[in-house]
Amino acid sequence: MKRRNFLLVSFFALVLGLISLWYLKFKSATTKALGYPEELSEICDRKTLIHIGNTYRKLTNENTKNHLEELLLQDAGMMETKLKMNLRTKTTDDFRTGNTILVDGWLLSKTEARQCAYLSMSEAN
Amino acid sequence: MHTDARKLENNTKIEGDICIVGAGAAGISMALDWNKNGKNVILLEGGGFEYDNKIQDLYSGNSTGQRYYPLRSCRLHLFGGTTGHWGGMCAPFDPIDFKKRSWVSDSGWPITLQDLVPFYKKAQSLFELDTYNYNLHYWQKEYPAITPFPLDKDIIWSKMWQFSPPTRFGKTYKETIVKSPNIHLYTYANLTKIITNNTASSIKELIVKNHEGKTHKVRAKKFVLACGAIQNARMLLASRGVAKKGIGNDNDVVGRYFMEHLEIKSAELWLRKPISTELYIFDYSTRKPRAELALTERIQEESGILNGTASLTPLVMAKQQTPLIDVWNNEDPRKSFDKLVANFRKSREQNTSWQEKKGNRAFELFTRMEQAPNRNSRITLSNEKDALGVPRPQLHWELTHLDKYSLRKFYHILGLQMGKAGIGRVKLEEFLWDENDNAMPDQLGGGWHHMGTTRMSEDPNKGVVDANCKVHGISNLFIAGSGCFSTAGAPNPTLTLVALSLRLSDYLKTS
Ligand SMILES: Cc1cc2nc3c(=O)[nH]c(=O)nc-3n(C[C@H](O)[C@H](O)[C@H](O)COP(=O)(O)OP(=O)(O)OC[C@H]3O[C@@H](n4cnc5c(N)ncnc54)[C@H](O)[C@@H]3O)c2cc1C
Repeated sequence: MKRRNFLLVSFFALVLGLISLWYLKFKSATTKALGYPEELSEICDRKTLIHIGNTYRKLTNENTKNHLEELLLQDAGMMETKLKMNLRTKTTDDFRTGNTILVDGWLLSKTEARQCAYLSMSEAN
Repeated sequence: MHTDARKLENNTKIEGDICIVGAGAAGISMALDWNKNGKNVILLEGGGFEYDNKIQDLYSGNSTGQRYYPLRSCRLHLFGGTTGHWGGMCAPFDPIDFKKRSWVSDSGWPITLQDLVPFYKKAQSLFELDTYNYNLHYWQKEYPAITPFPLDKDIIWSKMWQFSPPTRFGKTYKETIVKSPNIHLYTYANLTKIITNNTASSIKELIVKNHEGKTHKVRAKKFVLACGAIQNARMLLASRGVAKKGIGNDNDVVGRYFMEHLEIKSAELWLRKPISTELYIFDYSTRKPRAELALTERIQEESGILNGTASLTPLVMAKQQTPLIDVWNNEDPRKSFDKLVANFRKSREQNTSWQEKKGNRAFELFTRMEQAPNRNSRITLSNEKDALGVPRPQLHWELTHLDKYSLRKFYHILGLQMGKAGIGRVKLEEFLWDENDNAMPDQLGGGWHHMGTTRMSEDPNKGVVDANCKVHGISNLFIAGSGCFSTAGAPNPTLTLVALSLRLSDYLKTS
């Protein structure tokens, strides 16, 4: 009996551990994708991206990570590869629909500007 | 034939069929068009064949409003005119430049681009340019490496330019003019006053003077003023006699609507990946045609903005350059010119090889945009007189809300399109950030392009000359040059002003 209990507890602990591990990995991949404006990263260095992010936050009321996460994840899906792709599409769509903002002179898609803001908050924490 | 008017006996009477005043791009082009045609053509030039400081000083004047180059040095006062300093950038106007645009007040010419095409073709050779073809596809056959950015063609197009060597009219055409059997060139013959008949309905004669104290009279059947836009207006305004407000100025339009091209570093373009920019970068060694980015007619209309273009220069080079308005600030045009050349040379040294240029991913976007016609932007006369007794000019260069709005909107659209196409991002210069700021910065320059002071309109209340460049209400006085432009268009003016002068020449021959 004791041995059975022990095995059960161990099993659940393992499952829980795996889930946590998976969640942490997923979470960090999401965080990474959310804070990685792909196209803009090909142009600006990390310091500039963070600076853009800080300025964006001052220009808008989008000042918490949760809020930014919410906005960025809207219609973007959760899975890492899909998320990246969707953020890329959202960025292009922003330029198509004029959903843009001028930050430090850069004419940016709102999505990528938010990604910079998200990155700047991740850096701050 | 050539005569130095200083050597003529005082009070000489000069007579001919047609008298062209001013031997610059416009005047020489017209005179050449009359070469060997049997008519007695008088070509009056205020200066000589070489630079003369006393003559150049006749161009001095003051300016107010938007900061501008010294009036003394932004033109050249000698045979050949300002082509002695020009850069040779040539492109025809676009069809939209001639149209009435509801969002641009006082826009619309009484002629169309088609009316000018035969004369553009003729003008090309005077500038030693290639064939009259400004179509990208045509040039791609010659230079297969020139490819446009993959942008939405309904929104952005690549406007082609050709480059004159640049032809210095004073050097290139001196011999033809001097040896012509029917063109009689008088140097040091400065127009100082235009005399009308008793009713101010036709020109009787011109008074010309020089620093040697000689005064001569010139009579002809027809007179053409080709002294440049500032000077033509000045001469009309200064010739008060029967016409109390100046010649052709019954409706107070002479000198008004002065326009320049708005030339300024406006933004940066950062490419995501190196792509071919060969089409857009000026190649100093070959001076082969290149393109600038322009917005289509539809987008201009939808956005309610002026016509303009953006040129690309690798940022490493552009960063070495001082704004032109800070470079061309010497009263002596030769010194300003030397500074200009040094400014370009400094930046060229930054990037010598074509290969290196290809690897660039950051570019300066430099604007050349038409200025909206504005009655308050104008040439008037000052109380001070020059050495020959002519009141000096006074420029008030005034810009409008539409000018700044158009500049900002242009780069906004360009930024959207670059992002949409995944090419890169556009970073606007700080003076364009605030949507409520309508002022232009002090770094704004012009292209030394003076336009509009004797503008063309069928309505005498809106223009000084009619569609044939004839001054309203005066039977035998015509104006040649960019002063006749109703709107400034996006491209540099000289090709167009010569085409317009050749059209005038054609009209005078047949009328
Ligand atoms: C630095 C610089 C670069 C430029 N680059 C370009 C370019 O790349 N592309 C372009 O299209 N344009 C360019 N321009 C502008 C171009 O030079 C002018 O548009 C062109 O020369 C104007 O031609 P015009 O015949 O009307 O006037 P001008 O060439 O100025 O000729 C006027 C003539 O009239 C004479 N004159 C004046 N007053 C009198 C008088 N009272 N009596 C008798 N004669 C008189 C003058 O001596 C002169 O010979 C540039 C100008 C400058 C200064």
